[in-house]
Amino acid sequence: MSNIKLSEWDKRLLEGKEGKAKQIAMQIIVRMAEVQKAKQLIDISQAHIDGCIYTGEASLKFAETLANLKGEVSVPTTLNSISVDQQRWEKQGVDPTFAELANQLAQAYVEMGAKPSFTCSPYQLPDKPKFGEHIAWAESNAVVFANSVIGARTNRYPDFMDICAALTGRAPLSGYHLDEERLGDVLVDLPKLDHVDDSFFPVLGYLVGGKVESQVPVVHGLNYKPTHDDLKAFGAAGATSGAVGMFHIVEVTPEAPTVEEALGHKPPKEHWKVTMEELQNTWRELNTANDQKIDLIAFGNPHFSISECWKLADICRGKRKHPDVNVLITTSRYVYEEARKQGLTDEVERFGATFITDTCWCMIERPVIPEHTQTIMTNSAKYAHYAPGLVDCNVYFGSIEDCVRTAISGKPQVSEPKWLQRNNDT
Amino acid sequence: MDNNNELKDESVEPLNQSKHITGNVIVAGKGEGEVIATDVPLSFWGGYNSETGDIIDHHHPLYGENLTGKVFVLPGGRGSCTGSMVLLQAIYSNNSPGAIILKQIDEIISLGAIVADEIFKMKLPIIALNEPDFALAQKASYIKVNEYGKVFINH
Repeated sequence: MSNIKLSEWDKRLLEGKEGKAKQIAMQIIVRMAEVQKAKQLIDISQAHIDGCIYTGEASLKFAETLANLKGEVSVPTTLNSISVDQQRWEKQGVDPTFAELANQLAQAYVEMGAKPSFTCSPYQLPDKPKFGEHIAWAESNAVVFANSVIGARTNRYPDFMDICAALTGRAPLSGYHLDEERLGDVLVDLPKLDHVDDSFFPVLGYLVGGKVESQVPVVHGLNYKPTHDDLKAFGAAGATSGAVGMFHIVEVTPEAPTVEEALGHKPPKEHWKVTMEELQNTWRELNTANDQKIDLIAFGNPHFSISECWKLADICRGKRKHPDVNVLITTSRYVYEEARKQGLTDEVERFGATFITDTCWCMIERPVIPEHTQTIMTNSAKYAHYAPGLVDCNVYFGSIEDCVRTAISGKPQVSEPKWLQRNNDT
Repeated sequence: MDNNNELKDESVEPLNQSKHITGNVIVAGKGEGEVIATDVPLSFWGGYNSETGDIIDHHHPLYGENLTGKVFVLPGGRGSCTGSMVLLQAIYSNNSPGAIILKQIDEIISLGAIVADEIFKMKLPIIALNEPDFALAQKASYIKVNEYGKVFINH
């Protein structure tokens, strides 16, 4: 039936000798391998599961089917953000029926041996993978970070495939697991830019993702050293407007010491010179609001890092938010605990902001977003894209600093960032 | 949608007047419907409501359109890995498109239909076409996919 060379272990699993759950998982993997035209499967060293987001009865039935069949993960496995904050949902007024279903889904995965890490930024956890490691991660922003910034190797594993890989420890040898698929396709030349701040990378990522779709971009000409937070924002945005699973930034990411190496010593399929106009249009596209007030500031899509907690604490030290504005930050329990030990959560809470753990903006609905909320401001291009469809709000997009200034005044403090201004143009 | 006078009873018989093409069958199954086509990839999670069948991505050209029972012709997916679960939920609750025609193989969209087949024995046909055939499908008004993965296109 198939041209895939299976190992003895793969065959054992397919025959059901390691139990029904692993058999189902292997059947799904083999079908996907056929779709991907993979010739064999490989071992993966860890998995990150995105399927723990509650999307309806079917998601729960799938997970419970595997858990009831005594499925157990074969490799270290982390869990993505879930649909509720397990410690705070009651206080937040979340519907108990929904919370119950969301918790049941998370529990099914925990029963199979996954760690309750509950984060969409698993690369911020202590056991993150290393360069060259084959892994099976789902969650689009985690995938692009693992491939591009860490140099680990994962495909954009769909939900369901993540648990199948975790149960079997196997995945099709295809896509970004292969050297040649990791090479750049599109050479992206940047215009000369000054005064780059943290709002630049999400804008650039959103622009690049929309243009390259699922190809691998090689970003060249950046005269600024991005932080991991910048790279997170860039990747998350590119994996929103497009299907970017891997990018290179020359002299920044580990597989791009030079343009030539990033492209595999071949000419690029496409050479794109980004203009200031394109960046300006993208920035405008992310700002869909035109209101005089702000109801909510949303930080932490993807989950806030410890360095972002430091940055936010520094900016809001000694200040207080406007009483009509809610400021919510989503992060993992792990980062929250680190931030607490370093006194950062106190600082941020004195400003009037509130932390939420376990869940993230992609899953948060009302009433966690207060009922009256019409206008949101965020530093995340990913959330600026999804929020209008998910929670029916208008969105302003800006740097962390602009978000804090807005939170204090209660009115949108949105001005075109300095790096976008015309005198930058060459 | 263009009127097609040659089609008297399009739902029962194969579309005799139509061109038929074959593609890469990702999930086999029967399906047919009016065509809704786009050039822009879609994230099913965050871009599509599995309960109503509506496209909810405000940044997508098909924002507000309904996909239930239609043949959805799109180049591929973008965005979230959770798209597979959202599509599964749509299939599970009988709100899904009648068939999906892709230009590139898309793992996230495909897997939702593969799991529906493996776990729930429910079939949403998904076929990937080469570029010229995909362009034909995009311009079609009605498409029928048979259980062998043949795609009947009517303009």
